[in-house]
Amino acid sequence: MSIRFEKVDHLYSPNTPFAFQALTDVSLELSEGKITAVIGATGSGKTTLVQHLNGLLLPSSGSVIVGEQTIKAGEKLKNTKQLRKEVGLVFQFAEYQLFEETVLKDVAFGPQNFGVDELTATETAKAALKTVGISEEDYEKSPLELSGGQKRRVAIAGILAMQPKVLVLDEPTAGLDPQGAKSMMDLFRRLNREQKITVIIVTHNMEHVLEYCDEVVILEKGRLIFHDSAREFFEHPQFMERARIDAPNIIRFREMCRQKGLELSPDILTVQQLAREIAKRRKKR
Amino acid sequence: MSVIHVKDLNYSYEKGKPVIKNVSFDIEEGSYTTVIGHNGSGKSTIAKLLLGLLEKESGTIEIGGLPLTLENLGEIRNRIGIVFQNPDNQFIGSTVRDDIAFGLENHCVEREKMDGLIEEFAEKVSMTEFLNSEPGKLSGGQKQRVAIAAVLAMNLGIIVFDEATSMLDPTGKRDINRLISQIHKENKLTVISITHDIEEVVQSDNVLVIDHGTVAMQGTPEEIFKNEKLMVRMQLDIPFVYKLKNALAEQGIKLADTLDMERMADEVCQYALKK
Amino acid sequence: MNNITLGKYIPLDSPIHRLDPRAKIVAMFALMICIFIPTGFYGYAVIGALLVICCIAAKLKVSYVLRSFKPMLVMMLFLSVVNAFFIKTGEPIFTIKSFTLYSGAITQTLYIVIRLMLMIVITTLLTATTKPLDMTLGIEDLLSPLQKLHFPTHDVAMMISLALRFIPQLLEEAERIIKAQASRGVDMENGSLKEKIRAILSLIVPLFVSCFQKADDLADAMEARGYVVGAKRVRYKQLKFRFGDVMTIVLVNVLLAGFITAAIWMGKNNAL
Repeated sequence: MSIRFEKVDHLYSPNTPFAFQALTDVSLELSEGKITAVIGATGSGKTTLVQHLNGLLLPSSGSVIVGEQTIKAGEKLKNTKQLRKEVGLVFQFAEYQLFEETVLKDVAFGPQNFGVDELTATETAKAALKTVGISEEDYEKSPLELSGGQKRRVAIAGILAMQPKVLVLDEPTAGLDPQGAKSMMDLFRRLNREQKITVIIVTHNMEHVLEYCDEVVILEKGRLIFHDSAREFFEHPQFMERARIDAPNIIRFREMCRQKGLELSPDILTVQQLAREIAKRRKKR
Repeated sequence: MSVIHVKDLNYSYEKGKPVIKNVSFDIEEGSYTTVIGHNGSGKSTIAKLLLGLLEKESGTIEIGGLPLTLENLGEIRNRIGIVFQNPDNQFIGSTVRDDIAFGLENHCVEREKMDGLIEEFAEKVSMTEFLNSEPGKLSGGQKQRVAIAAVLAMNLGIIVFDEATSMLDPTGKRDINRLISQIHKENKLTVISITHDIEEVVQSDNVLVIDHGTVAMQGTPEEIFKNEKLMVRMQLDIPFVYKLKNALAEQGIKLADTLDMERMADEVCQYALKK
Repeated sequence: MNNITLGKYIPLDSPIHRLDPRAKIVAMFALMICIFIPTGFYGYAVIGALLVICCIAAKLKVSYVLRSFKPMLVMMLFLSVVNAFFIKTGEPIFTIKSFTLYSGAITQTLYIVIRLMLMIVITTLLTATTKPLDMTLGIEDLLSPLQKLHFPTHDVAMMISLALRFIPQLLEEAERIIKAQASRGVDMENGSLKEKIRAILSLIVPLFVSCFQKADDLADAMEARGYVVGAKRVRYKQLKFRFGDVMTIVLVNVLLAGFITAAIWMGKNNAL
């Protein structure tokens, strides 16, 4: 499903003293079937941007085109349900949206809102729970009994059960421990590769961008300042500086080596590759 | 001298499901200790037990030589303070000024001295210009600064940070980490920081590794990271420099021991470029 | 949520804003009592004029004050209709079929409507010029004599100020949850009754869970900073009466005395 922003502005509380322009003239085409990272400092408009994707926010001017639907400024959304089903949006700290008595019921809630009957919804819910790695013995538990990481997985399953074509995640690893965050990112990569879901992730974690993402979108004070491949992004440290973000360790290390006279290929993304390259360099001498 | 002494500590939220099992450790006065372990290992429970926010089942906790008991609770909280994870849920006052004042009010500091103290500690965390701001107008990092000022103003010897940076953006994280190490040095405080930030662990004097409610290991960062088996078994992250050192070792390359990335780069360049 | 004017603080700098909250609360009560003292339309004219002066002094916009009547409009209309049908005193004014409107109905209704409007203006003046926290401090101080009767004035004030502190945050949270559930296809407006109940549950349950979580965290944070319920503490914020505050209280009391005298005098004259 193609996603395009055309000259989108977004203004919060227009015509009040609290008016705030969160997006300014954003034009952007997000690639289908890829994992795209949306980064930028707090308050740069990342969350505002992604909430346009399923029509939670409507542009103040310009238009957003998602698949066959065009969301134009000043017009009412025609087929909201269809859009929300196709673009699954997972909020930050998504575990706070769980409310049903059991895990299974909560996950089946989404599809039922889109008119799927209870039996089918339960089947899709089971499949989604399996995908995110929640074991069967937890299906009948209250969501409140689970650990923080598990709750978040259930919340994500709740969105996956809607069988979206695009999965949008707003800081999905915030507050998780490093291991939990890593397995969460592994899950998104699996969904992207196996089910061909387009994944869009708002994140502050550059190690994750480096390891998992294909493309990078950078916002600064509501304006788009960069959109290209992740590889291109890591070649231009000035953008990381502008977004007030620390480069991943391996990029920093590569930069240190370059300054000391050792050029290393930008294709080196893991410590193992780096070690092999260093060994090879020595042998060449 | 050890300022915190914990022996055979036990705690459970539900009967028969202990979350803290026979935990014992000592913390030196003026040291910077980091506590690591994955979510659910019991780290935060230990922090709450130290402050008497949870009542221990058995064992002893001594803060500055004073045993933690119900009667001593007031005095214990004159000695140890805490900064929690969620910046919003620990902002008690309706402005920065009121929030710093809250602890002073409870400790019955004289009214005349409050303004001076509030201003002094707001200055220390660079929040002077926000003294009359409401929490809604502040970023997460700024709210944590206020929480730190509020604890500092109460003039305690020990501060516990319970994942104080985990809900902040990278800028906020860097900011607060810098502030923590600064106040540790300047105020000669004992700092205990529960964290997932492995680079912060490298900076600390002493590391406590918690696993399934027990102390799996205690030592300097070097000692901890050298024990690679333990780190892997506990699925804990290790610092980049260690990862690289291990990967190089697999290639049969052995370089001088260092924890500093810049020096590591020197070593690698020397090695790769040497004729 | 931005349309509700009644009870909202307007951050301005004016002589009324600067008054001590206790003086303002006392003045409010005195004026309220004045309204209920039967002095006829003359009395209302005096209070009305006084309130207009106060509103100007407080730099409140006319439109803002008018907007605060909105929530009461329906009630006033309802009262007028009821009065028109049931009050049969005074002169008949006109008759349509079997319905006759009496002059008594009109004066009675006007009395009630004017009273209501004056009361609304008085409360709006108080809330628009007093920070919620100052209001709690004021209430706490005014209630402090009750401490002798073991009424926990301080704890009550603390509860109110904490509630005020967390209201904006909870509203934000509610908006977030509504959006998150909307992303799962929840439609708060359309759908069958059963669907609507579920939609509301999907908002309320998470909001409660988050409230309890916040309460838990907050209790820990307060306790860790040495707060003990009912224990002695030194209050940082101290209210101080200034000359203007004393004058305000003197003036409203003079006014109140005047109203009482007028009412007694009028009562006597009527009796004669």
